[in-house]
Amino acid sequence: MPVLAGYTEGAEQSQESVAKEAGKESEWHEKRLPVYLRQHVQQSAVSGAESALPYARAASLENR
Amino acid sequence: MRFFSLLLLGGSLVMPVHAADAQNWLNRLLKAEKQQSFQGTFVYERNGSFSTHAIWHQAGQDGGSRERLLKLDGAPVEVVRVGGRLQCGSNALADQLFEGEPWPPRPLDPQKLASWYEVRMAGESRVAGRAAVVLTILPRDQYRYGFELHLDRETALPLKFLLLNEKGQLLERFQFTRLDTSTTLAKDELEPGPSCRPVEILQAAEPEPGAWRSEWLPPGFTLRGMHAQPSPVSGETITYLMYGDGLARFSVFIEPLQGALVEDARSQLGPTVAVSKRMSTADGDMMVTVIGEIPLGTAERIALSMRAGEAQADR
Repeated sequence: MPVLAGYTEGAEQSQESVAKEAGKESEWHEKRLPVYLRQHVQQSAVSGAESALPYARAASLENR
Repeated sequence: MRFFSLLLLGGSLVMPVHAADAQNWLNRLLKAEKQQSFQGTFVYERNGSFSTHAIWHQAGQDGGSRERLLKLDGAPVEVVRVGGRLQCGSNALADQLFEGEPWPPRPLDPQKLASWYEVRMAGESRVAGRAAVVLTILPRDQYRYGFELHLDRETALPLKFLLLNEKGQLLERFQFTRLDTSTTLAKDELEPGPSCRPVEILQAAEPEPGAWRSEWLPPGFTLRGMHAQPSPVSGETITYLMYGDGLARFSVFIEPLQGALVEDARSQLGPTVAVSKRMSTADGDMMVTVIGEIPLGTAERIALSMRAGEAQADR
């Protein structure tokens, strides 16, 4: 259930959002998209950003 | 627009809106991340995934900081960064780094940021037992997401970060549950564990000058880096480009299809969207894939605007 986010505690809930084009992803995409996604977040995590957020994004993809 | 109205209304009930104050807090944040040592634990949440992490950060002079991050649940994932550069990582975090990376960091520039985002004070909060001020960073257009940032009132360190889509729905949360800025860090707390492997540097090639460019970019996004790399799946040469606006980033991957019949695709994982578009070029059909923390419509438009040849038209 989507929620409006604000800085009030009651509005902070996770929102599951997975959208896919009609039809199944092809094998071509299934093989590549996880690799591309991992590279994108890893590049952000190691590119000198002071924030720990990119690391957290990358770490959340481990074991997927 | 309802989301923005709610944010502004909420903020106005607590504190007058002062853009200059918000800019000052962003400047304090930049200093704090370079000068403040701390240790603590934080949670990260997106798309049903929830994880907890420990962080030890030792500030150093001239950017010589040392930082260790460790995932506390599930398989341990760890990285150690020195001066902002990755020294070691566990599992795949140490893989897939290409020669020449990381690309030179571009520090956040609050003045430039104000061109693409409206930064406002939105009130006060309490996070990890600490008093915080709340900033909303709202996009001035529909091409990027908004943020809610809770900064520690004492140190200006970021205690909480929410990424919100155009409807105000939460896409991602980063939030400290404990932050200690007073205890001196022990040396061994900054040392990597046995699973932290030195980063593996792979060879990357320089793409032909102007090999690929985007005919359209959202205002404020510029090219941050570009290289050619072998596909781990097919071995074909992929052109890789990364763009950013100071807060948001997206990557573009361009891979030859070699006659494969592949349809367009799009998907979203929490804050990160992926859009693939097939494109015909003089060198054959290519698949252009845009991945980043940007709205789906923005990624679609970028994917459709990629062209081979000539110079990049930064906005």
